[in-house]
Amino acid sequence: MRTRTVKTTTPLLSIPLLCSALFAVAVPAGADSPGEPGGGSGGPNPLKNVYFGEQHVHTVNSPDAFAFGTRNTPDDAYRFCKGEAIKMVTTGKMVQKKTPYDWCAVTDHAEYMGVMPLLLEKDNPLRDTDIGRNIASGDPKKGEEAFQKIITSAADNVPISYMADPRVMLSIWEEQKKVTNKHNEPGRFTTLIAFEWTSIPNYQNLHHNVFFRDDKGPDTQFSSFDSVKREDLWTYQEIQRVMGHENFSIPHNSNVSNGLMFPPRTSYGTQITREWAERSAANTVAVEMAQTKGTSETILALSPTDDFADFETYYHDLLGSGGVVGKIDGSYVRQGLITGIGLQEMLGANPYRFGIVAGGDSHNAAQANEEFNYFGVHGNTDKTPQVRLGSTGSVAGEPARFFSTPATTAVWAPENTREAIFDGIKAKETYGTSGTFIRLRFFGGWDYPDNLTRGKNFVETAYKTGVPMGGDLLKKPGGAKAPTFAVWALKDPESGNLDRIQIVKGWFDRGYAFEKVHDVAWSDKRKPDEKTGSLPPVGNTVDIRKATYTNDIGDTQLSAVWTDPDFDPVQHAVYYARVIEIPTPRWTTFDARALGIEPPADVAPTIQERAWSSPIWYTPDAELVKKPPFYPGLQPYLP
Amino acid sequence: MKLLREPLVHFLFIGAAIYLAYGLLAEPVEEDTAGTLVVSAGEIEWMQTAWRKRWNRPPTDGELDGLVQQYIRETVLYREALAMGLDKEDAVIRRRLAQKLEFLARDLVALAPPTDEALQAYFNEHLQRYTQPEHYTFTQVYFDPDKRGDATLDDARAIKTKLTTRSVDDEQASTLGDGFMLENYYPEKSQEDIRKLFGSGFAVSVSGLSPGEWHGPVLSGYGVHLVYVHSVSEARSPVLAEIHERVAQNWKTDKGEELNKQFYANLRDRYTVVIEEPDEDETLAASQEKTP
Repeated sequence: MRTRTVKTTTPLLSIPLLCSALFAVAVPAGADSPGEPGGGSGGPNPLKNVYFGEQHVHTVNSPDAFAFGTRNTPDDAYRFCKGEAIKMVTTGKMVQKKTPYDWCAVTDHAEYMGVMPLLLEKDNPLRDTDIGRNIASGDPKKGEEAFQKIITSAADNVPISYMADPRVMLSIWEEQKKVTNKHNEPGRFTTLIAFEWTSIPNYQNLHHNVFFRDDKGPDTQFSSFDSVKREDLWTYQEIQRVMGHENFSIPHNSNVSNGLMFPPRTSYGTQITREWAERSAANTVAVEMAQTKGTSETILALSPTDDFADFETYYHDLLGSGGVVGKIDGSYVRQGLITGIGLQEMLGANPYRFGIVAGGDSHNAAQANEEFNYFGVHGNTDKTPQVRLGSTGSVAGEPARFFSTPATTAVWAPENTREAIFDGIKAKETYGTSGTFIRLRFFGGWDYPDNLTRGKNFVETAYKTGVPMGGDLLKKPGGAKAPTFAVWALKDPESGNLDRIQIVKGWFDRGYAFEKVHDVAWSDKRKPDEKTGSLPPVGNTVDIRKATYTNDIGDTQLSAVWTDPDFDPVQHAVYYARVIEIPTPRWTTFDARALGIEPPADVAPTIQERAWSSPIWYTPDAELVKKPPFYPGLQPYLP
Repeated sequence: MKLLREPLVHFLFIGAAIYLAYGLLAEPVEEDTAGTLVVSAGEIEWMQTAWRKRWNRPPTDGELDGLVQQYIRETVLYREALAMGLDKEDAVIRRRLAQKLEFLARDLVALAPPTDEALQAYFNEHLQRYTQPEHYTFTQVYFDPDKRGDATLDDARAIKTKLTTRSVDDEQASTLGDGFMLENYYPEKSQEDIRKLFGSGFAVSVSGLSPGEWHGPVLSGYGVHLVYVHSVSEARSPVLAEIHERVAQNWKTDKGEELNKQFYANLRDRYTVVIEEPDEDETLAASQEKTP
């Protein structure tokens, strides 16, 4: 795909920090403040709270995790997420999050998920033994007796062969659902029933996680043994929906998909049709922007003037390929979002109308998302600083130092329940972060006043007269010239200050794809360069040897109301916000300090953590669109 | 040639080589057992059930035939692989079978639920784990260091004096600070809730504040705050009946771990384990490899 990239950093309208003088009279104690109105009251908040969580973690029940030496269970994964300390079986060490998550979904691979004996099944040979009869009696005393017997007899009378029965796999799935439900505490901590469909035709990663809204969950999972084609996954999803199991899927690691994540053709090699696009958008609602195997936003080759491209893209080989680097086109999220609106114009439907989430994909039943509290993600292969920074520390051929900390998904929802979190992700009112707890509001509308983010009714007004992240701009009022976006970010109190907020715009013009990154708010009263318009870097306070930094630079919160200066009502467009923190030490730098050695030379010693919002889309009225005879910006997608 | 570097190609080559070698060297597979492959009615019924659960309809004749053929193919290959001994010393299969046995032992705990007395004893022993934490109801007023710079702490102190001496209504108090995304008033929050909102330092500070007066400056990852704690609800220990389910679950986990250890110890006792000393050269090489 040919993408012409332009960039301006000229701020059109930047509102600096909230001014207390204006704000002072506005907020009585106990009433709703602009950011999280009602958030303290305990009841559902119509203006929504943000809930941070994990939508992608593997445990001992994933065969690859098991092979890495992981022995921690789904139960451990949920407890760790909640903030409890758990003992890593690989190291014997206790680990604990500094800041707990609000929700979590364990997504073990559907393929070979665990094994569980069906001891109480009627045709189980164990039933006819003394032990079996004791257990079946339901008498706890007898059960205990039976158990002791088995313990001492080392499972005599238990034929191993019956465990190869496919029924065993189903029973594991039942167990997985049970553990997931056990940890779901409405109002306090949410879990979602989920699994991973591990499709990877010829090492091209097409993995999707599938999530369910109900407590029962589907009777069967869908695995890559059933099919490696995404169309078949959609069929599975559609049927489960009919059977009462509302669901959606979320793909990940488009960065190593060899172009398969945003493909120019269907799995059958045919041209993408409107129906295909609609099915895609109906079943797949979001995509992972970042996770431990790299960030998929964009790379310099696609976005040469984006100063913040190529973030955490150290991991780049196709999974298990032994060093094959995949195709760029079709592998990155920003390009995919822009391709999507091009297809919307060409076909009338957008197959890649995805919200943004981020995740761990850690295979050790824990999500070490905190840079300063990282303890590996792949069992024995990266369990200690020595192994991680050592020359032999590698996972599937890639050095452990190339992996990123698990990333984080934030969901705006009225309350912390399974239904609300599910609905929030489905509505794409989500954003991803590289693992920190940045709070981010992002709205789009046509007549937001310049001082919107300063007013006490900011959120209420923004909802009432516009749409939040993940939405479509409302119909353009006749008089409106351009859409206006309101954005507000607050730092993670345990991480660095904020450097800047940017709005990334992608659009199609006469068949060509374009993108542009706008700085819309920044810290420390910096002045953009008069000639180039580019904003000077925020600076760097990191002491690499000590792995420390100070918050002397950057701001606690940033906000802006920004109007698109290049808006053309006939062009399809997509906008998302990106928030950048000041530099802080990368996990490798903390490890190097622990070992008393220099940080590795081939990864940056510092990292600018960040957040990416779900997009807001603009789709022109049909009568406005003049389709060009040819779409150079969609070349591989054409007939 | 690029093809030669593909792991799949390696795999196929190695597979073919193993197959050839075994074909030449191994004993022929016993006719009477290997020759018959029964696809039982129960198996077919199972295939149909599994299909229905996934696709919400029974398989067509063609699909069922496909399932049966797939089953036959897998069984044939599986049996041949076993006959060739391919399961021996395969790291994945070793681990897999070991895992199966571990799971088997672990899950047996689920089948022997605790007696009431056992659970009560367990609950008493771990009472601390179930103690519900204090909840704090508080108001905070935020002072933005990006806006106020060096004057932030002094400003906060000045406002605090105003609040204390003039006994300003709590409702008006928050209007004296700076705009902030979080709320001013938070009812009934545990220390963990406060940590999620304001960071760990602030959460620890709040837990030490006496109710009924203004405190500060209190620092957080955001900046400077004045804090008024309205009330602190006492930590309390629940009775078993309230949290029976959770305690039973914890009992099961702990008991499972204990029994698993016992299970392994019993098995381990049956073996005389001999650990051979590697050659000195190899030891050296191994230790060098481990040095980063």
